[in-house]
Amino acid sequence: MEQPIAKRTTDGPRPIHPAIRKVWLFSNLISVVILGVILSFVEFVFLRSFHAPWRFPVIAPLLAIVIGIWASSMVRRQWANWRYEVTDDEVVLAWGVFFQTRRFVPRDRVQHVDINTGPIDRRFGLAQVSLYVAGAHGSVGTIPGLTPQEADDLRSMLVESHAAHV
Amino acid sequence: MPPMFDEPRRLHPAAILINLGRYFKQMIGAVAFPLIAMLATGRNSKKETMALMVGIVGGILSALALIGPVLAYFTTTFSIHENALVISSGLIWRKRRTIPLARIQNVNIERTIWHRLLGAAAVKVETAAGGGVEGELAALSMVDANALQSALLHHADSEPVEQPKQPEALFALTPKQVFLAGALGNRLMYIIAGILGVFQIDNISEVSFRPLVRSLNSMSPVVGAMVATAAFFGLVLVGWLVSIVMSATRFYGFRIERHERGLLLTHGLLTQFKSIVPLGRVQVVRIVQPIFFRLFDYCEVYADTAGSFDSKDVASANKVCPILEVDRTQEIGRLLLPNFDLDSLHWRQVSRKAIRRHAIRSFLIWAIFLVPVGVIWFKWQALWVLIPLAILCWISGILYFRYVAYGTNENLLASRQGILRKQIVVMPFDRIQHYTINASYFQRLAGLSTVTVVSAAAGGHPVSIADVDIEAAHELRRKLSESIREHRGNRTGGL
Repeated sequence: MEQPIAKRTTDGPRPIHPAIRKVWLFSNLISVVILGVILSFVEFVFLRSFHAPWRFPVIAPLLAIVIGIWASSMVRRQWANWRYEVTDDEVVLAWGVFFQTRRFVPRDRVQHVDINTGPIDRRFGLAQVSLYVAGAHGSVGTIPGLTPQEADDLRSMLVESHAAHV
Repeated sequence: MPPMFDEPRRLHPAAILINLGRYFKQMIGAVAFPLIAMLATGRNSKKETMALMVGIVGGILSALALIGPVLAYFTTTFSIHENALVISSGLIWRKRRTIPLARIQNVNIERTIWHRLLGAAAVKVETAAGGGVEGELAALSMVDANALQSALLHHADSEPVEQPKQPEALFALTPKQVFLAGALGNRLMYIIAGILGVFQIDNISEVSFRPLVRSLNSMSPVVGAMVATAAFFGLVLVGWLVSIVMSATRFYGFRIERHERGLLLTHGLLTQFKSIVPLGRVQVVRIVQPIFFRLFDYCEVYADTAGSFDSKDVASANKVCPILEVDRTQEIGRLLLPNFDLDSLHWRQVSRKAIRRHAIRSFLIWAIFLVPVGVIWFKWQALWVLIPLAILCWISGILYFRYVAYGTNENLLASRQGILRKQIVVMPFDRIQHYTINASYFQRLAGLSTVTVVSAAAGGHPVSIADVDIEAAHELRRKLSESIREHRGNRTGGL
């Protein structure tokens, strides 16, 4: 059986899958709920000690909701700003809305590659790829919102380059 | 005939005494403290019986303590077996640690004053696994320690090279320089913190400072203030002298020699340190000038190596030179990186907008800190302080801009930075692991970005260049990319 010849590069920058917006919205929702609960508890304690005219937290849930709405409004731009590219020599990751970042990782420096699928990712059929280089404490970059096929392609591209140069 | 380590061997018998000493150091705290507390607080009738009890318990513990190190001596063996250092120990819980020779990063020989009295040395083995020592042999004879160090570092060709007795020093510190290193070191902050720390301990200040404070109160306010100031400066002076003594004991006889695996650093008066900087693994060389060093044209030299983490042990090993004349940085830098060359670097300044950004940033940080405190203490008058603060921040912005720069030549990338404490970071292109260009919203409005270049020295320093024009950042990015293409497949750095 003939294997299709694996590509070495991505032929230009690629966007990530639009479904990642749902993943991020969903994880935003979870974070907002957790944040709201923590802030409400803090406010509850404060209300008790300051004898405020109302008895239940009002400001904290509102604040959490505002933060949630603001974060959710950013999701679209967050997605639109994500690009990744594998060139002959480098892996290039670009992301960010307020802080815009482009990270360049030489291909022969990649030590190993992880493919991760969290529970929310899995629900939407997505995976993420993390790159590791020597001497760093954690991964140097994680590309979210890849279909399992894309993630696997990316992994084989990077592992192939590793084998070719060492 | 150098000693061989094929068969499991025991440590030097001095290990018994050294382990015992360590054990007692721990025991002194455990036994002496309750004893003293009891003598100080206990009632007379009970005092003697309690002291007796503690004495008996202490005696039993000491007797037990003696058994431990003796058993340890008879059960601990080490050998080099199948290209790995094997250390076995324990009688009931047997433990066998195997460290593959290929994983060993560094082997240090340490001699405390006890080792030197007993003619022995401790050997400490570090791997890249993380911070600290992975294998420790408490005491070996000097001959064995040196032979083991060579054997562990020399696994590739097992024939140990005959070393000349006293190889010529590449670099050595004079006593005057050792003194200066302590006198100019920026330990002043620690000293002040230490003094304040003493006042923080309530129990002690209750007991020992109350009479002091009472006698101060009985003086006239002027005399009291003078006495207090004199006492403070006296304490600072004592701290300063302590810092000189510490530096002198630590760096006494500092010398750098060539070793098969890199550079051998030897120093220390009471505890003798011998550490090896593995040359092939040097990722970054840093030239640091703390403020007082600059007055005398001195600097410190650091080498960040692959796999070194910011733990105490390794961080101190990273300091290659505690004090060095600025003219000699080239010479020492060459030892660490063969193509080190500060003179041929072509330096470029960052954008002038960096002045404004730096000034605004430091103004905001100080204002957030000072304004609430000032308003609480001095009411709204305190806001006047913002005017001199703004001027100071602007001046500091100008000073920052004057020095900050990045430089390149065909092999090296470097950055320099600092207002009071200046630092140059030098990284060869072939040690680059990854690099990042980023820009915050405000930087983008000003057309600026920040470039950060990272090597494999995990606890080490990146080359970081803030606030360069976007075009300059792109030019640098092209240069980096080109160098990566050039070095593809034949990169060095021990990884």
